[in-house]
Amino acid sequence: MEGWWKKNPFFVKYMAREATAVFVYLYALALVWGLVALSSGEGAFNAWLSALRSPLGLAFQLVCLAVFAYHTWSWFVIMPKTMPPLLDARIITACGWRQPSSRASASSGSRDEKALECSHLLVALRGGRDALGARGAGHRRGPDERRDYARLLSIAQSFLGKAFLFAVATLFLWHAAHRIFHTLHDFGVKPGAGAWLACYGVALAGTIVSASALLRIGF
Amino acid sequence: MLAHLPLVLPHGDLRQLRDDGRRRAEARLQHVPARLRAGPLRIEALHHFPIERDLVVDASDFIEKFPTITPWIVPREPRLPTQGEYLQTPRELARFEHFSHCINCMLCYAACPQYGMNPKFLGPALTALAHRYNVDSRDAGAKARRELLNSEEGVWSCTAVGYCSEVCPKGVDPANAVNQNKTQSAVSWFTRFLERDHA
Repeated sequence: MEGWWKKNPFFVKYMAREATAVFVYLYALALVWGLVALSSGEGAFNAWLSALRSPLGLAFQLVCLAVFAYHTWSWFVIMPKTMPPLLDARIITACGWRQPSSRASASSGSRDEKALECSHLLVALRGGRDALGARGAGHRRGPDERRDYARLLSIAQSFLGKAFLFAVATLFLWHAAHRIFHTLHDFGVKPGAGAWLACYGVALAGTIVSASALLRIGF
Repeated sequence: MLAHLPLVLPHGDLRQLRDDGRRRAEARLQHVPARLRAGPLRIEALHHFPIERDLVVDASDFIEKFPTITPWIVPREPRLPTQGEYLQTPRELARFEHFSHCINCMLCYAACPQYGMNPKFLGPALTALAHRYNVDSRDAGAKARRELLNSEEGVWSCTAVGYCSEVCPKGVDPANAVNQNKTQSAVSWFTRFLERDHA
């Protein structure tokens, strides 16, 4: 079975989906670091922010953006296969989330699911935009770090903001840890205790650290 | 048992396929000339099964696993023929019908890298068949199938590659059956203390 995934383009795509989880893992760690920095005061937060704004930090984020786009898309492709038939086609049609692409015309079942994906994506995009909206129009002249710190702190002090930050950082981490652990197995490496700790152990530690940082920030 | 290939699906069979199954199978057959034009076509024995000779594989593993999923309707209470037939609504039928179209061709087993790496894995087709009975309104055997489905060798060996559903000539979508049961398995793990007659 060694090198099995190289023998079929379908498996190559699958492995690309799995391997991109490494970047999700790294980005989640950067987010956890950001939460810790936010809870440790303005100096630590500005250090984190300037690290992300450095050329290396920006390059890392650009790579992450590209990789996340592929990772997300590939999961949306498999999503219909992982879902129960939740919604009736008529409900979806009534909502107006119809996707007229030829891809969706394969069967009525898959049309529901594709439409559902679209609505999920829209909700996700809107949620992301609303969260970013709190940061203003974004045309700042030079980094106003004091304002950034105050803004993010006020978001992290609200209950909803806490829930959002916690969910994003820890879900990224658990998802990535889980996929990386499986990918090791797919590469033919028998994951031992070390790999288990590096995946799930780090995810658990990251979750505890994020929760305690958010609690330290207070309400 | 002879190796099954999508190329040798007889045309007579095609007419009997319904809805999704038929459309998907026809779409698959339309790909054949394109694939032939693209270059040589490799014909080989089903992957992941021991080869007996040439294209003939030993399917014992699949056949031995078959009865372990209780692949029949377990009635809720004893029922006599005089009580008449079971009645089902079209909606109840739609919940399991396409999962019942499986012809045991084992292409999904040949397509599944997880089965290739771990032959203890129950695999796509049998999970789909177990799911077919679990979601049938006449059946009450979900409990008997649960232990196997929820185990590591059950649905949790699947990593959502999804190739099983790609190669299925009958549109069964075994990946969907497996992954719906992951949700089911997770729910039953969290609610295991709430059940009245928990063994």
